[in-house]
Amino acid sequence: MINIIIANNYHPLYSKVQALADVFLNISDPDWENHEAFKKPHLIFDFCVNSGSEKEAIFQKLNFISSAPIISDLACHWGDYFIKRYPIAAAHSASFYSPKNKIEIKLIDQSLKNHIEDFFQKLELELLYVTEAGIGFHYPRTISMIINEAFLAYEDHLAETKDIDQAMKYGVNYPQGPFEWAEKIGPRPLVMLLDELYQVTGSPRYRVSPKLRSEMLLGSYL
Amino acid sequence: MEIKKVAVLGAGTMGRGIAQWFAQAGVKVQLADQMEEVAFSAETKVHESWEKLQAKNKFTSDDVEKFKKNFSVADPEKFDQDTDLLIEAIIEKMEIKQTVFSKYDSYFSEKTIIASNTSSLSIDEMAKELTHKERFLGLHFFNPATIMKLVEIVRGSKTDNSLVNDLYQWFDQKGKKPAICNNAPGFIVNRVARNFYGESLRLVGHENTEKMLEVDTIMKEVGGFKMGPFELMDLIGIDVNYEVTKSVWKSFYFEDRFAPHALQRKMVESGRLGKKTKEGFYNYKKD
Repeated sequence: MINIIIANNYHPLYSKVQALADVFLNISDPDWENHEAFKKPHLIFDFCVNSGSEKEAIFQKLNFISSAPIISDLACHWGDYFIKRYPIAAAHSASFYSPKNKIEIKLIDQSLKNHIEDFFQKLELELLYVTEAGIGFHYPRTISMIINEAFLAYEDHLAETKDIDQAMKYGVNYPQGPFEWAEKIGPRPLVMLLDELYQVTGSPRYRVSPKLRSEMLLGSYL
Repeated sequence: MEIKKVAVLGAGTMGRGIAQWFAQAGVKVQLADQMEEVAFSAETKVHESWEKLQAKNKFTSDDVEKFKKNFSVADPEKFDQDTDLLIEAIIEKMEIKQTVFSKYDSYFSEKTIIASNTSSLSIDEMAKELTHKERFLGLHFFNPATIMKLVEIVRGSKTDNSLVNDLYQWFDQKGKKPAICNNAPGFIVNRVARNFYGESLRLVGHENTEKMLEVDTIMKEVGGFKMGPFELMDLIGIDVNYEVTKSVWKSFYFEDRFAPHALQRKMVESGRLGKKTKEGFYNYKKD
């Protein structure tokens, strides 16, 4: 069985996962779904950071060309929904940087456990099994909200970014300041997840800070 | 900037800790409380703390002797008038704080910096009747003040900016990790940290100890936090955390992202407040 990895270059592990692929496909290539490899026995590893509708479009294409199990990064998505609708063997949160190099995983197909563990071990990532993927797992969802609030506070001229980082590290012992954290995760996963939360729940609590969104769109830094 | 003499008003947990830290930092500190016995009891506790630390070789006997010389109990009506800095650490009631500051506004020399250790009240509202608003600001220490390095330096709308910068330098040199912010609800920490609890409560949704344990584990093991949100709420006191949440929510005109969760209210109403009642999100009762 071969490992087909589909990815886009917004994923923080984009370069690293290429080395682990029998076949590596960038989804920005318009012809990616016509690759010969889909005709052989395979597993699909999805490392795309994108919006909910873009993710759904990828799964729909895969559904058409393959019935193979998918191991998908659903850190920015409503994982529970995708798991019910598509042949997801496991959902994980690898697009969210972890200070401890650990990621959450919801394993559905137990027969693939060893194969998946071996794969992530090569990426030097330890897996923590969770009972559900929810919307954005546990850590990605909570850290996104903390970082978003830090951006909103900055927009309100509450304090400079260095002061907000310092306060959170030394007042409540956070391992990193929210802006340091944001730089490591990157703005795209944060915005994608908050947008998904907003869309699924309809709650304004998930409104993305304009500064954070502009970082994603313009690639600018504060 | 030189700070050689500090007055601390309020000898509760925070006031006592702040006074202890200043004494350890080589500053003469006078601690006072409306109830004299509370101030003397605080002094005893501070002395005991130093003696314990000496026994553990954290301090030498010379250190402790110096600290003790730096620390004294005072009558709140008789603080040294040439003190460099007054820090108020009394009850979080605006009217009481305003009364206290009005009294000290004319009592101290014009050079004395006057600060509140408030964690939630408006610095501008506290200062509104004062003559010298330029020397008034917030200095928010974190508990325990001798260990936690952060001091939020809260700038009121009339606070002299050079004073804020000088205090930043001074605390930095003394080993604290200061952070400057403007006067706004929750300052930095109590605002930005709200979603550590709020989002975790929404993730779990209802009383489900296994799920809470899963969230706590993930936040420590994946996020690198020292404690998970539910065990931390149990430690802080679910009632205390709920009150801070409500206060920030109200101050932001009931913005959804600060809204308390029904589970917090349920826990408080049923008296399950965390470790202090031996029952909170987790059970601490011995079988």
